[in-house]
Amino acid sequence: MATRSHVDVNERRLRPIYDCLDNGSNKEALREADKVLKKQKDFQCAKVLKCLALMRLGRSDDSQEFLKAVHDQQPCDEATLQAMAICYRECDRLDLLADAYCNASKKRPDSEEIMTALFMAYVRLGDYKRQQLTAMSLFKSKPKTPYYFWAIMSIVMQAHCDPKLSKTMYLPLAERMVVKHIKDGKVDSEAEVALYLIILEELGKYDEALCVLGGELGGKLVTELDMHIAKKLEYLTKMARWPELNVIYRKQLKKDNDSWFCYEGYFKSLFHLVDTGWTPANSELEYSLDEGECQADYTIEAAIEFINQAIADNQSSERPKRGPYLARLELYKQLKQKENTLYQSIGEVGIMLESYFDMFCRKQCCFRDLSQYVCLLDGTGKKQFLQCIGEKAKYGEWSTLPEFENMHHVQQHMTVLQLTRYCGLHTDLSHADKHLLVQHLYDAFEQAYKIRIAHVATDMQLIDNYAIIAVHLLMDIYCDTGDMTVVWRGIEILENVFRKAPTDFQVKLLLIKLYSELGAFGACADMYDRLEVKHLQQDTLGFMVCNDMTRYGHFGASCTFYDTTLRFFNHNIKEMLEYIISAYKYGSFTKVYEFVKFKEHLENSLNYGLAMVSRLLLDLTMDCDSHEKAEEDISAMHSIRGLYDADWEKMNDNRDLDIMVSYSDEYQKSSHKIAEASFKEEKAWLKVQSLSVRCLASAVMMSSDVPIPLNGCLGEDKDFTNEDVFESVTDNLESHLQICQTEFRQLMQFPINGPRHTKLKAFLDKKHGQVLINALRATLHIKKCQNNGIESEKLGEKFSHGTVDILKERVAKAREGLAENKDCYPEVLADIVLVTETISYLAIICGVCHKMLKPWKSNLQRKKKKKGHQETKLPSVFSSFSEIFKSLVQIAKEVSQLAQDIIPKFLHEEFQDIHIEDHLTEKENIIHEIHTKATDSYKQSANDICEILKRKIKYLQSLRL
Amino acid sequence: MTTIRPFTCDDMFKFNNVNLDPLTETYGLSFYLQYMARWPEYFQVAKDPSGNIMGYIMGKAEGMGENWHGHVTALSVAPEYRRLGLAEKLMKRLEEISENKKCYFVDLFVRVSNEVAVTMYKKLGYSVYRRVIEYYSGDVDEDAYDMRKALSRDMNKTSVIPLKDPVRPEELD
Repeated sequence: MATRSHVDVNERRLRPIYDCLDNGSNKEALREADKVLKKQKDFQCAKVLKCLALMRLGRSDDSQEFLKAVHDQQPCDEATLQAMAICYRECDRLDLLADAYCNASKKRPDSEEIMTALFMAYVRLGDYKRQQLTAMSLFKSKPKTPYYFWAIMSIVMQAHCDPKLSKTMYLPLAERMVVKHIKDGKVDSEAEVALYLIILEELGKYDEALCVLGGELGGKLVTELDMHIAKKLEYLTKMARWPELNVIYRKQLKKDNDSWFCYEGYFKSLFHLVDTGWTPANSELEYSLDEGECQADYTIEAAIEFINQAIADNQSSERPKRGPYLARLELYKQLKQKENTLYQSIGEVGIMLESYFDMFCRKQCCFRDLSQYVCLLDGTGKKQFLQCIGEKAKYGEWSTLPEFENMHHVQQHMTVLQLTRYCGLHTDLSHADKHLLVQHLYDAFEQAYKIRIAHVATDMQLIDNYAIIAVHLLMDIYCDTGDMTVVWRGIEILENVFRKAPTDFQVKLLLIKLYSELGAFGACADMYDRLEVKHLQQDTLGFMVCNDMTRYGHFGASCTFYDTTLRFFNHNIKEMLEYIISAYKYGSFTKVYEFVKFKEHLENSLNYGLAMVSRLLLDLTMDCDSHEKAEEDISAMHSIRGLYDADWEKMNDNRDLDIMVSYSDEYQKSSHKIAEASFKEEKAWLKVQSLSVRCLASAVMMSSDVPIPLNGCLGEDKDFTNEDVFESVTDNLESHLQICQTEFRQLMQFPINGPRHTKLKAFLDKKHGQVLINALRATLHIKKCQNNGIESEKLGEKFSHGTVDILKERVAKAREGLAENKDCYPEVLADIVLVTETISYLAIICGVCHKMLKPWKSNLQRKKKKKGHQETKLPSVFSSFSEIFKSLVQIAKEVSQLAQDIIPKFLHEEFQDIHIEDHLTEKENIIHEIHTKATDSYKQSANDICEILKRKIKYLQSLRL
Repeated sequence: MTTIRPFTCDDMFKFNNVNLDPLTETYGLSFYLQYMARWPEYFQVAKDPSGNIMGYIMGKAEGMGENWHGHVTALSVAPEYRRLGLAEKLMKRLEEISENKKCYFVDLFVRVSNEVAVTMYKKLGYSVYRRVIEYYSGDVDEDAYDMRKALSRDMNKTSVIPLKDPVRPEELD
């Protein structure tokens, strides 16, 4: 009783601290904790809660110190341990969390709770070996089956990590452990059988797995629907037992004639049997049939008959399924690909496609279905087919639009339109005809809009396609001509649709792309917000905006964007551990490995890397207005987040590049290549940025004599000077830039629904990489001269020539461009953004040079005074650098002016006549709105650019020699 | 033409075409992971022949005693694949799983304004059990129908006898 009441008192005393922590009143919590500790100075749990409050108040040094003291006392009561666990999770010291529980478990080896927590602590660390040992000792003290299987799963995870020992040691051990358990008659849950199957699969023992499935243990697998059959098919496929597979797929299709994967499997097994000339009589393979099962189909004729029968059965049903018809087309396609003439006996493909259209033209998926098979027709065949279905849909000539009877008619009409585009019949149209077609499509949209059923979302989505295809046509023209007026026209169409149907995400996505072409990022951001992209979508859809954000100088928005992205990744990568733990707890063993892989997928996401590096660069670009600030930023970067160094091989492309609809056959054929090219470019650009951060950071550290971390850039076993390390990272950047120079000389043209290019090519072509390298090299040179006390007359000239002169030329070119070509404003904007960024980097490098030159100069001046050689001149390097700082300030001023000058230049003639005071028609209203959005966006760009340059001017002016 | 299989983590990288639809909510990762860890059998995805996600269903089994039931947490089909009977197919599977688990009934919540969905559920044998006031929060809060369908274990169909008075979300068990 005495102990119990003691516990109660403790609980009561801690309660206010917990409450404050829960409410986020950390100061209050700290006070409460101190109050308790005054009464009871050795109260461990109160101490830990105090640490938690301190940590949350940002006093992590104090917090760590107190926490270490408690840790060393090796507490073993659960409340204290739990509080410690929270602390360690928040400060990412999962190793210490495990250590704390490990200490406690030694003192209280019988405590199930502590041992379980220790197991989970190792799960967090991904320490599979210790997981295994802990689970086994847990099982020994508390013989509960789940603990035993935790140990087995931990062994399976070790097998995943060590392919060498996987099949010789880990998996056989895991198998033996399960078998022993089975022999003891202890296996009773589904999770255990599922884990047994995982082990057998990993070992490639499919035969045995099949036996388990068919036996008593298999009977326990009940919750997951179709698991039996799915597993059976998987194992038989692995063992290439095609006759049985064929029989099973056939049987499944009799039950469900709309299951695609069964048709796939049926055809695959069929062709294996046909190709090997298999018959039941010559069968060497094991071919067992259950009672009542029919034979396998091992001839094409039999398969045709089977499919025809499926169609006949289907036709009589109340709601015919698409499956059998598509299967017939698929069989035709596969036979034709294999050059097997029997395809002719299936039927005439044009007729099959037509009858498919007849049956399913009221479904939205009709286009997608048919698009897979129109390639079976030749050029003339396609035209005939389109003409035929065109007549059915009263598609008519483009000079006459049909009166839509109802939405079914619209759907038919749309399918014909989609297929027409897909078959490439739009490509040969002249620009004038395309413009005409755009107008017709827009009229079709308006007409269909009138007869739609207002609350049915699918209706709206259907008719939006008219506008989308119209805009795709306009973008075809834009690709040929680069004429900005068609982009404006496209935006006008889409904004009009958007007003009527603000829900269709395809319209929003396309608008983002079009505004990007204009360089009006503000409008992109607005549309992106309306998409309500959140959570994982930040990883999969962030690419829609992230390349254009900094390209067009929306620096402030970029910061917010990357901060949100980073929060998502940091939070969820941490959280993933909790779900891996859950998977163990609920015995969902198939999910353990899946979750671990998914976590890696997030950690190695391209977007995560981009967000980290971009954020670091933005810090250096935006806020630095003095060299002290730059030093501060870099030291914070180094100590808090570390300098980013990605594992380029492991990097994942999680972008959902297929999200935008395309009706182009060409695009669908090349989408894979586009994705690959874009990913490669993204990685290369990320590497440029990542190395740039490292170079800048190294330069700053070198000038302030802080040791530069090696980060594996040189061997680790020798003492390297800062100069060595700095030179090495500069070399890395230069050689990477050279590789990029050759690999990305010519970029692939991406279509409007594809990804956007990075800034890489402009960065290289417009010599920003060269400027950066020149500046870094000159800095190193100064450092070496300073070390050796050598005066070099050419130092300043070299620096100036390689940086200032090039930038001056860039600015002049940008100004010329603006004067010459009224359509080049997005490009000019992107150009001056690059100049702005380069000036920012140069400011830091100048700061570094200044820091090295200043003491050198004072030193010389002192010497001179001592020797009394008043007449000896100081080396010109000092005056040259003063000139360089001044020139950069001058360039910054010019760029600021240029950024503001772009705004009036981009007014387009047809928009100039519109004034807000006039009474506007709807069309004018929309045009005015678009115009305002674009102008505002350019103003924002100018504003962000000028803000940065103002700081750079201040930075550069503070450097005096 | 469909392939239905268990939903896996990687499917989340590709479910935008379903989730960008305004009536479908995208939840935090933890939400999906919790379902995958705990009720993996109840989380199914339907794919088309090219591997595009057509729709998915997520659900769970919960409740004590005669309240042991299957619950439909989310059901969504991408616009392009609607009117193909896919939702029905996914619902039937969820009911079958719940039958295997010996549940008494299956229930779900739906916005009272979502006529299309309410009609579909009625066609599948669901009926309104009660109305939940302001269940959905938003610019304007909206009521939900709590709809139920009895399974074979509930022989007298007592689980679906409608309640007369609406309830508030906090009164839900």
